[in-house]
Amino acid sequence: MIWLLIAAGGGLGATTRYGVIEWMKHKEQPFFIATFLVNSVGSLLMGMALHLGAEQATLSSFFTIGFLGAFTTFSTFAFDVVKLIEERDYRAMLLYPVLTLFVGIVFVTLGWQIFS
Amino acid sequence: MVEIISVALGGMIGAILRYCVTITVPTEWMLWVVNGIGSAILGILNGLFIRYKPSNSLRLLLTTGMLGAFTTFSTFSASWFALMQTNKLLAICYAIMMTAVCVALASFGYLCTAPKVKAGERL
Repeated sequence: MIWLLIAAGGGLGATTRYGVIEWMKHKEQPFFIATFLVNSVGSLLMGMALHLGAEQATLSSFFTIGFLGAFTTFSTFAFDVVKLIEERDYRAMLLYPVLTLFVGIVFVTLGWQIFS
Repeated sequence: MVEIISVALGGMIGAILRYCVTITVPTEWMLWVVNGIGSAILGILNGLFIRYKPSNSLRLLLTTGMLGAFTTFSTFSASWFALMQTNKLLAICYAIMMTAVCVALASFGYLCTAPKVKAGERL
């Protein structure tokens, strides 16, 4: 059962991320904006989800391991930085990871505090 | 439509593979394993994709779908948040190290497979 929930959440999370990527492409934003958005929003939702207790294990598997795990991504984040290095955009190469990490920790804290 | 199915299928595979790592690897190493391996493979694949141009749906299945879902940022934010409660300096070092290691692995993978560029030539 848990495998099915994680697979369903994972499929849904990845598809939602793809939707954000296509949406940002349509709005002609730089390639890393979509990754930045999904990781920030995902961190906020994760902060809220941290309140899910052990008795809500089913919901937690579907939502945190499945959906949020797949909606946010570290590999694309890392490769975005590689692309910026290749493009020799030194300002973005430093600002992008620093801002992603900073907004990530601020949002997860904010998400946690909303419900406490 | 084919694109959405590819991403969804890849996402299912990626999330399941990540869960397999979660239940076999000690909790404190789990994120290093998935994010490190995922970033290295994404670098390798993106290099290969320049040489052998695959169909768009295969590319989406493997990268946006599978590797995107295999690696995770939200759990990383949560574990960083947990560390912040006990040791702020260690938490910041952890976050910077994770990013540096994954960027290094992604660029190493990419350099291994991407076509070589002559010195001074820009892509």
